[in-house]
Formats: sequence, structure tokens, C-alpha cells
Amino acid sequence: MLNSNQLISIGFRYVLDELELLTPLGAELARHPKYYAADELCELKKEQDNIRELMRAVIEDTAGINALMRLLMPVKDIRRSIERCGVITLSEVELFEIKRFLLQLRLIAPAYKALGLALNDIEIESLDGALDIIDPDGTRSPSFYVSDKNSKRLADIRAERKKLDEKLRQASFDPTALKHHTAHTDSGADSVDELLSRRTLLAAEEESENARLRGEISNALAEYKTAMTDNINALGKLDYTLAKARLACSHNAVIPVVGSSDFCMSGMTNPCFAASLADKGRDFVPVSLRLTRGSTVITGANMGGKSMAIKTLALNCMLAMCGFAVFALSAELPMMDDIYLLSEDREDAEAGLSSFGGEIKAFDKMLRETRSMAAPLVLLDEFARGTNPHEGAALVRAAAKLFNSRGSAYAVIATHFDGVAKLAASHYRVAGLSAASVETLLHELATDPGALAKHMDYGLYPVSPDEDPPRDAVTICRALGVSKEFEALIDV
Amino acid sequence: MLYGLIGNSTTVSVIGMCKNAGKTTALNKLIRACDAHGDVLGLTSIGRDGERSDLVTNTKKPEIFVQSGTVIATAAGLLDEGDISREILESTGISTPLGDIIIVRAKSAGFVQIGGPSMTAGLTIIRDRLKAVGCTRVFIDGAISRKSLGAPQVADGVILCSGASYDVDMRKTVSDTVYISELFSLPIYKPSQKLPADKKYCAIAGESVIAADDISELAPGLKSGAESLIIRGALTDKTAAEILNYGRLLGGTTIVAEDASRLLLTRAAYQKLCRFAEGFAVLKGTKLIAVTVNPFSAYGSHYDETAFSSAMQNAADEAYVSVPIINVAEVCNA
Repeated sequence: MLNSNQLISIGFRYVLDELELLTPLGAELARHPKYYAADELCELKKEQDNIRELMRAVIEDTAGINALMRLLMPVKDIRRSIERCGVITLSEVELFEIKRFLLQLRLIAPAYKALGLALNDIEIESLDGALDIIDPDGTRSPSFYVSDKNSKRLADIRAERKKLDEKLRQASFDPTALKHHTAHTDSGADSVDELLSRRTLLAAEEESENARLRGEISNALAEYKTAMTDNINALGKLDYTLAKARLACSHNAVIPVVGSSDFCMSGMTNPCFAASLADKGRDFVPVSLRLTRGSTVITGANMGGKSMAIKTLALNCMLAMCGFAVFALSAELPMMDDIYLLSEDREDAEAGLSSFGGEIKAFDKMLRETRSMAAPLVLLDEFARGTNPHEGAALVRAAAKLFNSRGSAYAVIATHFDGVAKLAASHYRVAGLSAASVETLLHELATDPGALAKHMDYGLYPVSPDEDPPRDAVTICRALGVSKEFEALIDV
Repeated sequence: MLYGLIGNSTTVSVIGMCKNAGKTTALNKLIRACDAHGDVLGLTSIGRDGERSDLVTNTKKPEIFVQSGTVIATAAGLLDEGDISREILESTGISTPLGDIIIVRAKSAGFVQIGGPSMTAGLTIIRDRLKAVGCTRVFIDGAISRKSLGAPQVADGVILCSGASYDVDMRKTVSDTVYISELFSLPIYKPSQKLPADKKYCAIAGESVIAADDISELAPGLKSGAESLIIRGALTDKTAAEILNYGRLLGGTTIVAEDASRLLLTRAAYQKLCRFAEGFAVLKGTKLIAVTVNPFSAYGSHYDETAFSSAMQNAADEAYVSVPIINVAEVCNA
């Protein structure tokens, strides 16, 4: 499983941050997106159907969706309070929040039904019975007050309290003079002190009756516990799915074919990388890959975008397996047990290992974990780059052979070591600098430091397995403007 | 009497110079007056107040007593500390260590504990919510350490409460109270030119406006005899020291702060600046409604009632601060 740093580095976190969630419940679902396991194809397809249906509604019934979104916004996460119904006496604020929720549900349910959406497992219904318990007067006002209707005793205490308050008011009672004030009143024989102690007593009686009634309300609401929980979870799910659908619409994302025997991703993009490239005035070049079981090798120039290609593949596979639309022109992929990425972003310093040692340990762990899996996706970005090229190449070739012989994993290996591609089932190359443009490039670089990006072809093309990686490291050194003193000494 | 002074200020901050300054006494008096005048009252505070026994000094404190109909914004955890019969109107989502700020309407008279938000931003939101549920008058209870309470964007009037609990030395209590009163009574400066909003300093000299974040860039403008030097943001002792480097150029220049709540100068620094400059002013003013005085100290060193009131009055007169001085001890016996 990809760790949180990897989710950031492949741009998955960025995509999650792009989701516009309206409720804390939806936001919670988006914090830890569900990865659909290999045996959950059916659930994954249901989620995709929901997104497809909501994407249709976002386009065809914008007004209806906007109205629903406005109604979702005030929904709070009150699951803890619901959970406590029938267990303890809820506080006034908790009952207030439940009432607000039930009132909001009463608005959302018809608006949701009116949209006529055919969504799987998202049912929202108004709970008028629960509302009657909490609001026996039927005022449906958005505030909470334990109604006099709940008990004659409460009504009596309040009536008496009201009379007393009026008497104290007449006596122009000054609370700040409590100590040194033995006052006279003009309304009868009651002294202020007597009135005050009766007031305190009544207030305590009201509080205890109020608490008793809140206990009754809390117990009565317990009958609706499941219904309330189901509804609030449905609202969270609706919010999350709607956010996915809106994101898909705004990015022209497509719903991938999952559970396929083919693995073909065409025209993939990565919003995170695209955004940072756009800041530099450059475009992201879409990536297309067709994978087979065993090893697929990507070779190409330094700075040619091999890492970006691998991470873009990781992002879109991760999105597909979490029930999102993917950023591609079309996508077809099998169910993958898990996704592994070994790249230079690894942090091994804390474990006290050298970068090479850490990489090998992680690689070995991954080998053990994937042994029994039916179809894992394994992504190796410049594996063994930290050791000498001779042995490094041998390690990468061994990895390529191993995945070929296992025949279960889809392994993608980005490398610039020689002799790996011919062992792989398929071979892609980042085009890099075309021979013709090298001279032009050097000429242009004199005036334009951004010329390198202009002449680099970031496209990924299938090539014959016999072709070795291009040799343009020296050209790129020159393009980056290394000192002449150094350049003169380079002897290839 | 205090109520009569409020006039048409709809949001009033009641600020105590220290704990036990008689602030709650003044507030209760105001609450009763508002009730008598049919105001729909809203109450909140910065921080916590209304405790039966003060949490810090453990002295008995009068509590806030409200009438039926008053709307209170307080932390959820303090609701049960009061004894009003209450209707929950709103949960604002503004959080405090004692729970979210809840807006409740009193359905009976009774004692309440008020603990409002700790940030000015939250306070303006709550003030607006209180007005939205129908309050015609809002009182904010607070301490002098929360100077932002006097900011014009929060309140349009300020009542300053001072008392014997501030210091055993009455002269110190009086001079510090009058200094704060002076800041709240500064004249309002109307700039003759349009001011850039994003620079810390700005000098107006005739038709020309020079603005910069570093005061040294303003030197030419000050040399030519600027009519005003406007300072954005907090005016602290550090800022004052920077300005004083150009002290000799300030004759005839008025030093202008955005509003009184931005003047965080010690009295010494303020007076030093006053000696060099033409005077002080603010761009936006908050009305100082009254200064209340409480001769009783929570620590036992009471002042002489008449001597305190008259010392305060004299010191205010000397500083040309024209503000009513009200004895809360009299207020509560009235």
C-alpha cells in the first residue's frame, strides 16, 4: 500500500484536496478513501454507476444539484449524539443539533427525491416521527426548548417562576447588592431575600424536571437511532460521491473499465503535475501505456519525465481502485490487489540505512508481500540507482526476470541501465532530445535558458526491446550550463 | 444614569482595567435599565465572566442577572452554570476551551455565566448574530488586556471600569485609567489626501503623500514639515522608538493611529512622542461613554470613596478628557 508521502508525491492528495466537500461526513470519507479489494468488483462498479449518474445530473440538472448542495452545507456530524440516544440524557445543545439535523433532513429528502437519481445504496428519508418527539408542539422552529407540553409539572413551575420574576422586577431587585441589601418591596410582604430563595428553589426544580424530560426524549429517540445513523451516513456518502462526480466533470475525467483482462491507459494526465508545470508556462504531456503481466520497461533521457510517467500511472490506478473517475482519455484495467511504488522519495535516513540499503529492504518486503497476490501493480522508479552501474544493471535485470517468471504482477520499471529492456515483455521510451535538435538547442540556449524544455519530447513511445537507452546525459549537462572547465574534461 | 449616557451606541464594550473593577456591577445596572427601556438585549464577552467566585482571586463577585428575553452568547460548557430557563437558538461553531459558543434566549430571569470567543473576529460574527436574532443593544464584557474590544469594528461605545483592586496606590490607578481614557478620547483625523492602505507609515505634507514601510524613507517629507504621520497597524514602543529618531522633525506633525485599540504604547513612550509632535489623533474613533470607579478593593486596600472620584475627575480635567466619572458603589445603592 502506498504510504502517505507517496500519496502526496504521486499527486493523489492533491486530487483529494480538489474535492469540494460540503459536510464533515463527506470530508471524513475523503480523508481515507476506500481502496476496493480484488473481490469487491461489484461494489466498485456500483460506486462508478453512482458517479456516472451524478455526472449526468451535474450536467443536465445544474439547478437541481445546486439546490441540493445548498441544503447539504449546514449538515453537521452529530453521530456521537445519535449514538448516545437511549444511553444517557442528552444535553440541550445535543438535542438542538439533532432537531436541526432532522429539520434539514426534512428539506433534503424531497429535494433529493425530486432529482430522480438512480443511486445505489443512498437512501434519504425524512424522519417526522423523531421530529415529533423532539418538537411535540409541531412548531418546527429551528430552536430547541423543552416544551411545556411535555409535562404539567414543568408548565406549573414555569408559570410560578414567571410570577416570581415579575415580583422581583417590581422590587427592582439589584443582584449586585446581595450582601448588604435587606430590602423592602412595595408589592406585598415578601422580602427580596425570600423571593430570591424561592427563585433559586424553583430554578433548581425546573432544571431537574427539564433533565428528566430530556432523559425521556433521549430514550424515545433511541427508536430512531438506526434510521438517523443510516440517513446521516447516506448524506456523507452522497456528499462524497457528488464531489467525485463534480471533480470528474470539471476535469473531463472518465470512468475506467475495471476488472478487465486488458490493462490499457491512454492519454493519462496528472492535475498536480499539470498545475506545477503550468506555473512555469509548460504543458503536461499525456502518458499512454499498455501493460501486460510481467515486466514493462521505460527508458529515456534524464529529465525526460520517466518519473512523472510512472507517478501518473500510479495516480490513475489508485484513483480507479478507489472508485474515482480517472484523468485519461480512456482507461481499462484489471482489479489490482495493491499498488507498490519504489522511488527516490523514500526516506530511510531515520532507519539508519543508506539509501541503497533502504531501497533493497523495501524491495524485498514488497517481493514477499506480492508473492501470493493475483495481480499487484509494482512500480520501480530508477531501481538500484544508488550503486555502481555494472551491478545496478544486473539487479534491475534480475527484477525484470523475476516479474516475468512470476507472471502475476504488472511491473513497470523505469531505468537508464542497458540491457534491461530486452528482458521485458514490452518497452517504452521517453523520446527525449531528438538528434536533429541537439545543435539547435545548444545554439538557442545561449539566449534562452528555457530552451531545454522546448526541445525535449516528453512523449512516451513503444519501441523494440533491443533498443538501448539514449545517451544524452552529456548533452543535457551542457544544456544545463555546467562550467566549461568541467565540460572540457568529460571523456565519453 | 449610566444608561442615559449610552445614547444611540448599539454595541457597547464594558472594559475593566483589572479584575474586580466593578465591571459586572456596572453591567447589571445597565441590564436592568435596558429591560426598563424595552431594549432587546444581547450579551457576550471576551473570555469568561460572571463567575460566582472569581477563579483567580477567589473573591466573591456579583453575577450577571438577566431578564426574560435577553439573548446570550456563551460557551456550551457554561450553560449549566447559570439558572435561566433557556431556548437554544444557534450553535455558532466558534469554539472555545469550554465548548462552542451557543446563542440562547432567556425564557425566565436568572443568573448567567458568559464566556465568549477569544478572538476579535469571532466577536464581530457573534455581535452580528445577536443583532440578527433581534437584539437592539449588545454589551460585550471584557478586560483591558483585550484591547481589541475597543476597536471600532467591534463596538461603537466603550465604558471603562476602574477600581481600587487595580493598585494599592490610588495615584497610579487614577493616572493609568486617565491615560487609557485619553487614548479613547483622541480627536478624529480626517486626511486631506487619499491614503495608501498597504504601507506602515504615511506622511501628508500639503498636496503630497509619501508612504513607506520604513520610516527613513519618509524623512524628506517630514523635513518639509508634514501635517500628519499616519501609522497602520499596532503602534508599539518599538514603533515609537523608530519615530523618535526623527523626533526633531515632528514639530507641527500630528501622529495618527488607525484607532485607539492600535495604540499599544506605554504611557512613558506616549508622553515622549507627545513632547515632540503636535499631538495624537485616530482615523476611526470609539466613543468613550463613561469611566466607572469602584473604591472597594478585592484585596482589602479600599480607597476613600469621595477622594477617589474627585481625584479621577481632576486628573481627567487636567488631561482635557471630558468623560462622566461614575461611582459604581453609588450605582448599586441607587
